[in-house]
Amino acid sequence: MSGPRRLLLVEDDAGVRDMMEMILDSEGYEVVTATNGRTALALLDVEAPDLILLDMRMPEMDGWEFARRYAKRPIIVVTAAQDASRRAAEIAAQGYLAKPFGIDDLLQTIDLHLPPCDAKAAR
Amino acid sequence: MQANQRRRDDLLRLLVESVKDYAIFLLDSEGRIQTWNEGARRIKGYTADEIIGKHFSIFYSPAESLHGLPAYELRVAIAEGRWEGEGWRFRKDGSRFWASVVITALFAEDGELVGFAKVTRDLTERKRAEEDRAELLALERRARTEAETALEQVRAIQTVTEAALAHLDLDSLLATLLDHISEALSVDTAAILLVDEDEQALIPRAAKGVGEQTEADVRLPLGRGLAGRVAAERRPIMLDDLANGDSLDPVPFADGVRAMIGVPLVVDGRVLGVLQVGTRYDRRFREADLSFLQILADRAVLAIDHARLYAAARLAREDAEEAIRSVRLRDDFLSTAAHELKTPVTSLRGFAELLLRVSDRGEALNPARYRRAVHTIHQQAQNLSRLVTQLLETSRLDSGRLELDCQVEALTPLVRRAVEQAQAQTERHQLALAAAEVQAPVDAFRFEQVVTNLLDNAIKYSPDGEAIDVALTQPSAEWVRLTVRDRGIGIPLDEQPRVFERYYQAHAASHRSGLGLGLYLSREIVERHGGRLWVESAEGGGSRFVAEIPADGRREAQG
Repeated sequence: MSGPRRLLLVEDDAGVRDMMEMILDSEGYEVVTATNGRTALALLDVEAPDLILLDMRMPEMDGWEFARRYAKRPIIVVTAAQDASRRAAEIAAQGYLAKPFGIDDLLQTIDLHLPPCDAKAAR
Repeated sequence: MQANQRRRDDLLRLLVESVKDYAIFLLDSEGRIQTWNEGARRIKGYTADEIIGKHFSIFYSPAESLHGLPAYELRVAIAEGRWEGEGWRFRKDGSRFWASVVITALFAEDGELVGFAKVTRDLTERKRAEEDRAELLALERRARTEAETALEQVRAIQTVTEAALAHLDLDSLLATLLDHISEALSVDTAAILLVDEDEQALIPRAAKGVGEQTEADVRLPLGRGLAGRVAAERRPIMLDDLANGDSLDPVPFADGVRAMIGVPLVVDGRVLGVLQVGTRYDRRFREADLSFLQILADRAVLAIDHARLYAAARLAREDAEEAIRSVRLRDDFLSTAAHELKTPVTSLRGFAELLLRVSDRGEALNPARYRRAVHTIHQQAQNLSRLVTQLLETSRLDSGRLELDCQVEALTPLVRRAVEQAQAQTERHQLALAAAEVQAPVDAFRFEQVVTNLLDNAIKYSPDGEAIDVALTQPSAEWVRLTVRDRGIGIPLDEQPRVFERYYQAHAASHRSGLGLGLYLSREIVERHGGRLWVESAEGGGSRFVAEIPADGRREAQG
């Protein structure tokens, strides 16, 4: 049996971050949070997330820069931009969430892009 | 002796008679011809039979005879012994020849006048040669003058052409053209009138030598006045004597002008305007002046057309750049506004759905989570409401609908409330208020907006969570002062004036949140209260924002 799936949530807005963290936690995910790209990169030295939820507009280091420095995927882009799908394509992300999204959008998108457990086990 | 004498006389007569190059003959004391020789026959064409006994005035023109020239010559000969001169004389066939004449008076031994000897030479050939030479000289002089004039005109044309190329600004081009043209033509006044946009009238665009006569408001309908007719008829017109009513009313720039020329400025078949010059002196313009002016005008009009096109192109380019700039600014703003509005809505929606979902299941969140959810909903709703207010206020400002509703208010409670609300948003910052009891006529809603904006700003740009000091004081009877001092990342000196610009984001690259409207709105509101708002670097880092408003309602006086 594999343990809970681990998600890295990178989001600068406390309200959005708290909301996502609370929902994902209540769904049984293990959630690690970072407020910008730089902190997220530092966390990646010790954490190994199954999937990254990445805001694009952030201080210190934005989503583009983070994606440039971090080659592993899957990443789901979380953005308020009008052309969310293009943003995702720009950084070769697997999926995107367009703000404001609902709980179902959030959970289904994660489901869709989270690698199967056996993939992790095989690795 | 007698025979010898006769023989000598005969020889002399033979000599005289046979001389062919000179007409030598005797006149009696009245001037009638007595003798005739071969030279006389050859030069004058009469035979001895035809002429002997006739008066010698027959060789003169009727006018000369009438004026007594022949008689005069004889009188001179009598008085001085001889008369010498040159002049035109007439042959039998009516043709004339240039004669060199010597008339000698002949006196008897007792002093009585017996007649005259007249010797005439035909100098027509020499005269003609002299005349030819003089004519050649005159021709040469004239050619030289014309060449010099032409050279000067070429220089003037060159100067005008160079001026045309050098100036792309229409006004300075026209001024320079008028300088060169009035110098080239030695005229006292010069003006350029251009056809207006509707192509109905001429409007003076540049003038020289007309003193105070600016006549900027003149609109000369096409077809009226000198310039109007020049433009309508597309041909040059000269007015020779304006002083004596030779006038085509109305003529702008004609004060004290005696004569004028107007030539059309035509390019590609379009009349752009009229170039007119005038003189204040008694001078008649000639056809040559007119042709020359037209040549200069033809050069000038190309430059005018060029300058106009250039100006139009520049305007169009500036318009386009401005449009692109404002579109980009608007796009940037819309993208920022979308982000700023969607972010709080995202957490509102998420928490609301979570609460609903839990409640639908008949469950409950644990109290700590419940409190966080509701607190965030409250906070984000406030945040959203503030953003919407900013957008509305900006829109009111833009449409001139931002009206202040000023009442004398106690400011201290108002500021305290704003500080408490701001403190509720942050746990990492400590807000401290030092407030005297002050009151001033303010629009309470807007003034509170200013305080809130300044506090939000201080919190936003103090990411590490430092102390924020707020002070409300009354430094003088006239002024109330609010200062907000943070210990945050500060604003570089050269950026300080710009932070109040609309849409300005101090650290745009770092994606700190906000619409870029808060400080812009705050300054507008403070200035509408008759006050001012500025920022300075605080000692020990961070920024100090200072708002001063009049304590005694001098808003109207300050405009």
